[in-house]
Amino acid sequence: MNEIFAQYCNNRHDMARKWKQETGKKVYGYFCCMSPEEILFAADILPVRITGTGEPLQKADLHVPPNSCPFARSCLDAGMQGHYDYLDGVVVPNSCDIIFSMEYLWKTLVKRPNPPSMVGGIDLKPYVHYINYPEKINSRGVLPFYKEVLSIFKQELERGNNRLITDEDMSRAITAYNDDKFQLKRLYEMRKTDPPAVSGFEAWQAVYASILMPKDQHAALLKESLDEIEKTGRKAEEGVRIYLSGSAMDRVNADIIKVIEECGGQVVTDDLCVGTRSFWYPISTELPPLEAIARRSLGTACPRSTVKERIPENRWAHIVNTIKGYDVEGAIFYVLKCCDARLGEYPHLRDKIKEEMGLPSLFLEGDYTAEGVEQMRGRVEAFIEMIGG
Amino acid sequence: MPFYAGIDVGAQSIKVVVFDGEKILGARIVVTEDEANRAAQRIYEDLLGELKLSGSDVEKIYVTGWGADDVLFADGKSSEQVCAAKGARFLIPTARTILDMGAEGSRVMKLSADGILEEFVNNSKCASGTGSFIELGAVYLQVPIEQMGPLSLSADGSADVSSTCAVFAESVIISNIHKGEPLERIAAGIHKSAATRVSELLGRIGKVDDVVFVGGPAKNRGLVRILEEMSGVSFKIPDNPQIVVALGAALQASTKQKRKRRKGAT
Repeated sequence: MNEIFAQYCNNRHDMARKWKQETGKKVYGYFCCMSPEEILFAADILPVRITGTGEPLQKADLHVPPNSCPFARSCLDAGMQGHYDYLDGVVVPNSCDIIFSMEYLWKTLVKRPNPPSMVGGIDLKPYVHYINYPEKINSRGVLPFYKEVLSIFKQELERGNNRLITDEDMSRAITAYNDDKFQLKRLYEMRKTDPPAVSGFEAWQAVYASILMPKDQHAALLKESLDEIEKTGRKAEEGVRIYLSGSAMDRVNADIIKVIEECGGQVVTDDLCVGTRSFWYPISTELPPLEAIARRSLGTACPRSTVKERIPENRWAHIVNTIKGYDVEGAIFYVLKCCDARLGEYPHLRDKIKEEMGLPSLFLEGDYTAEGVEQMRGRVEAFIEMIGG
Repeated sequence: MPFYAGIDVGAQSIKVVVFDGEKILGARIVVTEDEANRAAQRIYEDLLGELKLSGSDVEKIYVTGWGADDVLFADGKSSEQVCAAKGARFLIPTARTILDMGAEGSRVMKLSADGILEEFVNNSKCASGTGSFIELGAVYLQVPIEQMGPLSLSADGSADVSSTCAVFAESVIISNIHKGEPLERIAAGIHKSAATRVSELLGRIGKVDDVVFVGGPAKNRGLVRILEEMSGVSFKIPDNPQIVVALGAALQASTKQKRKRRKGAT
């Protein structure tokens, strides 16, 4: 769809290094889409999401046992190998139990670019920032607590970078993020037609690029591409309309979207953190900026945030929002092994999607390797043939 | 009358069926280590020769199975799940659940009352719960594979072959031999281990009667009995369970149309 998006998708590290060199600004890495990246943007820092390599691990296996999440281990391995040596800081939210432990692991195992600046036992310029994302996201007292967490994070950034982050900076960031969300939403809207205007893989590229490049630039480029598509009225290939639900979907495993297309399907919407979960809901411009960002972050429909029901209301609401209007014919769940939060909710989601929407589901065991994706081909083919007749 | 052919390229053998739109005219099963395209072509031509048909009599050839993409002379391709469902339903019209056990994969399909494939589950990416698991057991016990079923039926219980991993099972089987466990009991243990995995698949999909068992291992009476005991079903097994998927491919060749949109969720 756009050459620059493809470059970011295929060469993310080179692109980030180039950006850093050209602008002389800082780049921070973050885990998970609930991270308050808007605050980084407000501090004139480029936030980039940390992803893994999908290659056999070289270093992380010494420290993290092989029966834990392959995505998190691969991210750590990439850090230990120096793939992220251009980062000036790293943000780790308390999302799931394995990502939570990245704070300690990254701090102790990944070489930091500059020495700590210790005063009274406190590092004034921390390399790894921990965001104490609450375990429960919708109970009383959560918002004030989390606002405090974000306010401390903001202070750490201010201190570490010798720069105040004003409310104007925060509002500017919120505007940039909302503009990008608007364009991404527009992109998804254009997939409601049959055939969709944009293929599933192209759309994934656009979303993946959005978490790797400055949001304002991304929004401008995406707007240009979408205007062009609207003008020419071009369409993607027709196919069985698929809803793709899963764990982290980065360059390593996004080829599952291509496999689905090659088997006669077309991903038209999704429940992915490199997908709808990263942009679907705009940030409020009515509230004080910090509160608006806190609410956006708490509103992330990650399966890790459970309440006593097996499928929390916010999860189900997000699923309904992202399926409605897309004329979906089948749901494919590509879930990474050890992604307990996702695996635990799968049977309930499968049943509910079947009961309430009449959609058949296919479950694929992801292992975060390119070969693993290829092995799924037979099942995807059968599933699409089953629906398409 | 037009003829149709279905070819099922499995992990171990190639199955070819020629079908006239109403009944099976002939079938062949050949264990092959040859390159799939060449082997399939040879077996197909041999079968045509036997039936005194020529290539031009066959209107369409459909291929399915593990190595389907390697067969270059076919007119179309269909997945093994769909073919197994079609083939089984053709032979046993009351079929609602189909267990297809192959050399390297097992799958269970569920059909609606009017025979539409609604759901399927596969075994995970390993050899447990497949035909080759039992075959490996036969190798360690030094018993011909055909004897494995009868041998296990004659046992007065089963040895503990709890590992479902085909690699680890080797050491478990060998240590059982060293302990002096009778071969029958070990054979029964091997069947039990494979059946546990398959029974899980049947449980996961929520089986509905009639349950049809197809694929090579359906010929193993020992396995059938232990699976029936374990999952509480009574299987219906076609006369030649190994060719059912190839028959499904031939059926697909005779009927397959362009896709029709089914109403999606809005």
